[in-house]
Amino acid sequence: MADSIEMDLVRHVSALRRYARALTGSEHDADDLVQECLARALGRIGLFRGVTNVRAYLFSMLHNAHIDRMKAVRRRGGVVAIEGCAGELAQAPEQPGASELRDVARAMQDLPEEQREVLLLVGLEGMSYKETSQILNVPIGTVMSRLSRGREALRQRLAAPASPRTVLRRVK
Amino acid sequence: MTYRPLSSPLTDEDLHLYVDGQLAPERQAEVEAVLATMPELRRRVDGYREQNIALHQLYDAPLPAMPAEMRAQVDRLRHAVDRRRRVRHGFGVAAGIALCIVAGAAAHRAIESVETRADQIAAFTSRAATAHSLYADDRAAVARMQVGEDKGAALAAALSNLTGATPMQAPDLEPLGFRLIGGQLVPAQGKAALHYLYENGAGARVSLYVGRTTEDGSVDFTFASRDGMSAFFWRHGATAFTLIGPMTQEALLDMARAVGPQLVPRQPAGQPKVDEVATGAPATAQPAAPAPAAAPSEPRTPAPAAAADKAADMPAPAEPAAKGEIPPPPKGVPVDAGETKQTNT
Repeated sequence: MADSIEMDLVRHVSALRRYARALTGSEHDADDLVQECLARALGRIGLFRGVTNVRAYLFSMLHNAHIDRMKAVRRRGGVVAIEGCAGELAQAPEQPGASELRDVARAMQDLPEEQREVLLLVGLEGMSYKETSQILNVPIGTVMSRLSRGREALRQRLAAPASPRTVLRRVK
Repeated sequence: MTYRPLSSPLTDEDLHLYVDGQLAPERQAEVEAVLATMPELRRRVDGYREQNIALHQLYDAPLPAMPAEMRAQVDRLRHAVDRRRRVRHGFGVAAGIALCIVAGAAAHRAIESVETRADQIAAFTSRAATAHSLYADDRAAVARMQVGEDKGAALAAALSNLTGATPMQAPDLEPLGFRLIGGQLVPAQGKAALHYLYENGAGARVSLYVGRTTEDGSVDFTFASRDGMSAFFWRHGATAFTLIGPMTQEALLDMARAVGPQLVPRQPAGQPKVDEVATGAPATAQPAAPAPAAAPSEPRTPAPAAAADKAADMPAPAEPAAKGEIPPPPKGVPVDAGETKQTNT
């Protein structure tokens, strides 16, 4: 039993790390953010014990940590915008299709963060729209409209240079 | 439910739900039918799908090993979850009961009424499980639950009040090797419920939880188990009972059979029919346990491993509430038994 709890938690934390990487575009910032998120969960351990959807709860802690961090960055000022770091993402340039994937990464990073979050939670993490609305603490209709705008923006942008379909076929 | 070519206009939301596999099956068929006739829309949907694939290709790269600090945090969280399981596994038990009842009784009743009934039983059993897990393992809490003469009388009065029969004493489980080590009144939905705690020679603790329900009507012994915990629920009229502890189903049934008749109001008509155990686990396939009276001094102490085997038989419990919602922490603040003397009728 303990093993499966352990496995679940490790899986959740791997997902948090992946999401945080995609969100911040930086390996270092991502793990910092995940640790901050886990620290928050540990700080409210009484609440954590009552949680039924551990994964969504941890993601909401991560989201809150991220929001607070962004506020602090803005207060301090003069820090390189996270949005500018898309190129850091791990993807060997030699890999076929890598440059097209980098286009996707860049397009993602150029999206407004609120749309990027929704695209990642739904498209990458497989969260339901309801879970996403709980994680981001916004109405489900807002999740819908961010998803819709984000996907359409990404599609338009990627459709311009080359059809994303052929690109992705080739990557596979 | 009736299929029409398009029950409502296709929306943007439909398309995204379709891409993410979150559409209801009927609607999915409708959307597919529309997409088959609209290649432009089809391409848009495919584009969205490919974005999801691209996101995985981009971000699914293997992660470097967890930093030591993060690893330590995960360990601490795991311990918290372990404890959470112990505190909250009652909700799992309750969900298990709901499944048992739906499986066992659906043939005789309309599904809705069964679900309502199952929900109520599940809710009651989860409160019992919560009370058990909050107090049974906590030495200080058990010490506070000790029943002296005065408190014993107050609890007995409350028990009489709950069961609608006077006079009534805490059920005697000594013949099965369990002695009463504590009792308390706990709040349950604005009313008082009674929680008795028993212990055997090997230190295994079993809780008896008694309360009033809004539902009326008798329910036979209904079994559920999870993570080595077993529970039996039953009800006479509007008075409900749950016996819960780290026992095998067989051992707990012996106890339920011993307790049940002791809590029945005078009229014998209300007795539960213990032979008709509604259960998802193979209770009746096992040989009958020895009669309680036959082994008065032999404590029944099932090995935890045996209980764990039973737990494995249970279907995975459904989430008690909507996923992702954070339920309030369990309420279990004991009410001082002395204050409720006047509740005796």
